[in-house]
Amino acid sequence: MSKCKNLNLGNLLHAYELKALSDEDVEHFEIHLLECEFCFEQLRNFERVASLLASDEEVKKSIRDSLQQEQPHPEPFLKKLWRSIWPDAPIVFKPAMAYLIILVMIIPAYLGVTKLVRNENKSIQVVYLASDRSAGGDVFQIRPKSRFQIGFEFDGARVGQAYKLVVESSDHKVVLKNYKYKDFNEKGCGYLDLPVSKMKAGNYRLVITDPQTGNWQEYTFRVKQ
Amino acid sequence: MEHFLDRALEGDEKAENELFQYLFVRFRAFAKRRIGDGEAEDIAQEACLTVLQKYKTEKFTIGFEAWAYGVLKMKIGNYIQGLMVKQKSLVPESEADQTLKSSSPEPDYDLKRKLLNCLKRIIKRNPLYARVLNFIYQGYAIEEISQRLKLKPNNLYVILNRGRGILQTCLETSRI
Repeated sequence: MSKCKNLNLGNLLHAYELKALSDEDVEHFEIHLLECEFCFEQLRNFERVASLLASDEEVKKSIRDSLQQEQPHPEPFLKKLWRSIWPDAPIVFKPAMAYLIILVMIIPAYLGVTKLVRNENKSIQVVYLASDRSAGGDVFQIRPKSRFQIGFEFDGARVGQAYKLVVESSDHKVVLKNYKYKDFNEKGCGYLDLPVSKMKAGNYRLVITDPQTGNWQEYTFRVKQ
Repeated sequence: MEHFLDRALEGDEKAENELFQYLFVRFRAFAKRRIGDGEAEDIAQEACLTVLQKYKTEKFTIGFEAWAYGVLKMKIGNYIQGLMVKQKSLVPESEADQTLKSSSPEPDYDLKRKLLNCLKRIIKRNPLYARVLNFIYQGYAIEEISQRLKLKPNNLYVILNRGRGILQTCLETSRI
């Protein structure tokens, strides 16, 4: 015999046995019993026990007495702790909610400040590139946790206009690209942070292109470990 | 049942008898629950006969089961109404109600002892089941119990069935 296929109705079984269902639910369940052999067999097999459970005074009294004797279990520590931080009170009085809001506001602020401080503490190495120097000219000495910045010029660079910047290694591996670089100043000078973690010792070149005119300029530099 | 019904509708007499038996067992159980042991068998038999007389010509817009159940419900309703009318002049209504419920059969003391023993153990293991039982004994409806225990009715049914399962295992194997 296959199991009950209608779990929603099958779940009513014990409530039906205990005569706890409403008239409407009794009707639905009894129609289900006409279809479902499994539930009807369950009902028949448990009939005597269910009858005692539903109507025997001694059984009822036993349940009542046992429940009265049953001492409430001591509340587990974690549950107690949880209740202390999240009591059953209106939402405005829930301290846990307040903690959460404060945490949500404080953590990003804290992280932002620490990042800023960390960046400020980093030593910055700035090298001004000149277009007429060879790759051997500007040498960076990589030091861990330090910031590298290169300074460069671009003839005819305008403030606020987007330029295309690409830094690639001698084996044409792109380590940095910025297609919307807009930080040239009035003198046509710009600065760029180099991704130290991605860079190994070797020769690199910086290519600046003006997308409007197609003019480009190239700088080469060398990084030493 | 669909199998019996299909064959019976095709004219298979054996299937018709099986359908009768299938319905009778269930109808008797349902009637017994409402009007007690005394007349349950007769009412169930009457309902089954009506079903067998009409099922070939009836168009089941609500499904055969629901239709057959409706026939039984009508028979029980008629019986109760008849009984009320008969007894109204003789006894007060509340007593007439009492006569509908015939006395339950002699309790099985061995089963009862086992049941009490298992219930004591279940209360320790699954106090929620016992609490729900206690609420039912006090006459609370399922919705009221759900509200008191802050549970959905469906979860309550699941708790009841789980308790029933543990109880059944305990009665059969003396283990929880």
